[in-house]
Amino acid sequence: MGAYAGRNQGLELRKDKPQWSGWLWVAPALALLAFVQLVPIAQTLYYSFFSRTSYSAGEYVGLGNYRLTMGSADFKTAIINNLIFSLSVPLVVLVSLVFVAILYQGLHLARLWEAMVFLPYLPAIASASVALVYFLGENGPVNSAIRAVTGNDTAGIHWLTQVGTASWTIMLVLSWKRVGLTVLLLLARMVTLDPAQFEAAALEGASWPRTFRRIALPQLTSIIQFAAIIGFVEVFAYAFSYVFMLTKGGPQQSTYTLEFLMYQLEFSRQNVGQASAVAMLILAIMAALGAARAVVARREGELF
Amino acid sequence: MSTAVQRAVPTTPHYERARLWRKGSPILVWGKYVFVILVALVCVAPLYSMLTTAFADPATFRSTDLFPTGFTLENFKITWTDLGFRTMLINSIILSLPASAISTAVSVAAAFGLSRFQFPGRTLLVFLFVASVAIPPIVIMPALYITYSQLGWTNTWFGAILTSTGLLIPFSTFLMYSYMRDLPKEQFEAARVEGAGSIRQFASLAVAMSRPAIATTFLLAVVFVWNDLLVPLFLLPSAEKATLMTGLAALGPSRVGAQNVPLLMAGVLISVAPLIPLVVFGRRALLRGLVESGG
Repeated sequence: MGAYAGRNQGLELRKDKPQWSGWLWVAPALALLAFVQLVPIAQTLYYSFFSRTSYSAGEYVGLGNYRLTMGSADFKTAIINNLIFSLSVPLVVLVSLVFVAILYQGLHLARLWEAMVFLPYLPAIASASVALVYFLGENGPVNSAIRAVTGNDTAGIHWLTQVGTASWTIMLVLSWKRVGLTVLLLLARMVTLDPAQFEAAALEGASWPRTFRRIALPQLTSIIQFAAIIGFVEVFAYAFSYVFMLTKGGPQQSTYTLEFLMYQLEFSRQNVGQASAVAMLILAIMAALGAARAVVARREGELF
Repeated sequence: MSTAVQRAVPTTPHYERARLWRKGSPILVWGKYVFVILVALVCVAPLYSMLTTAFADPATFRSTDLFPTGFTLENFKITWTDLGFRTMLINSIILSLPASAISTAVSVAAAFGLSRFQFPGRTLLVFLFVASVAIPPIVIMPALYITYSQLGWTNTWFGAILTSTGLLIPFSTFLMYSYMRDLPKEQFEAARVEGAGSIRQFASLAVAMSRPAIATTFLLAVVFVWNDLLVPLFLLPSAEKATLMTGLAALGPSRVGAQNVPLLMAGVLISVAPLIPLVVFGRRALLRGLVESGG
């Protein structure tokens, strides 16, 4: 996202004669996209106005499913959890920026630290989650270490098993998984910046934090925005997988997100209509995020 | 926001560039190391624990060990055959390779159409593909499940591969489009003058010049499908068609007692291992693809 904007230097712009054969090249991709994604979304919109279940088509209820959903306690929990998970985006950007600023300035074994931070990006969410459920378990390695250090046999954190704590743990897991990629993206942009400008600032006696803030940061804006947007998209796209693998929505439904609520409604309560309404709300949030991105891009004059 | 062809992404950062500031107060220097090492350790610790546990001897293993000692390969033998990870690995391959190959081929063609032809609706199509990147796959699953049930496609390889392919299309097309858009148009012009049709231009120019981008797209596709939980979870529910991801989800630590944790971690390692060489050797390509798509 972002680069699609831009100049079409390579494009053959013959205004006089439209090259209709272009459609033929796009047709297979368009057909696949339509069948697997666009048609199901249209169906979902349609289902969201009916009291449809897995067994019956139901009847037209207008906005009833939306009203029912938005009034429910699970919905409130889900919205709050989606917001908590979204906090991983600014957290990751902040940690990555400090990390990159330090690394760029020069540090022993810089490559090693960079590689270590990238590691959590490799395993799939499912694989990493299985390892983490054990690692953060009641009697897992982390709590054992806490007990060993404090000398208290009942000490430890109920990472994934306590209402209130579990949502924040998932937020941290999301951040853990994503920080390496953000560091890589920022570093890749950072090394394309002209080092002479930093040297000039150093000669004038500016400290490195100040130089980074004043000179490097403004030039990193577009890549930070990109990292933030894919961060939000991933929080929404993968929140279900994290919740499904780490807590199954528990304890006491406290880690429900919109995606998990949708899954519960559809496959446990067989309430297709209401599940579809939740799906449409998720899509509306994604559309709003996309629009925000487009507004930012247009302000920078880079859209199409 | 330079272009794909003009900008070569440096993958070996020159950290030493800005050493001018290194002399700071000792507290600041220590603080930097503490921050970086702390972040790095937090990132690695769970994976290191997983790795050591996977090789730990189940007989002497205690879940309270931070980093268990002992070394045995027995866990992998049991996990491979008795826990069915051999079948799951094969299933993951059956799903990810065809889906990645088809979606890459189709996306390369679409990117060629979008970047080399000027036709009514082109801008709208580009927008459609780009916007679809942001669709969370989970929201389409309920409707898709209902449709596939009616068609008898649930729990079939065809349905799952078709869905994975369709999910990959927007990102792959977008990635290929951002690359092909910047190919020098003079060569295409010259080919046209020499009488090359669009199929010739596609095969001997566009594809030939885009090889690195095609490799990136394919690589990212394999990683995406391999790691995907949703498609196999919803569309391949039977145990004999479980992939590594749904297999891990079904085994889950909650159902496995403490003495079996080493087996479970061996399973986690099996699920991650095939991607390690791919990502280690393909990291340049992966990074280049991501940076270019991100501007």
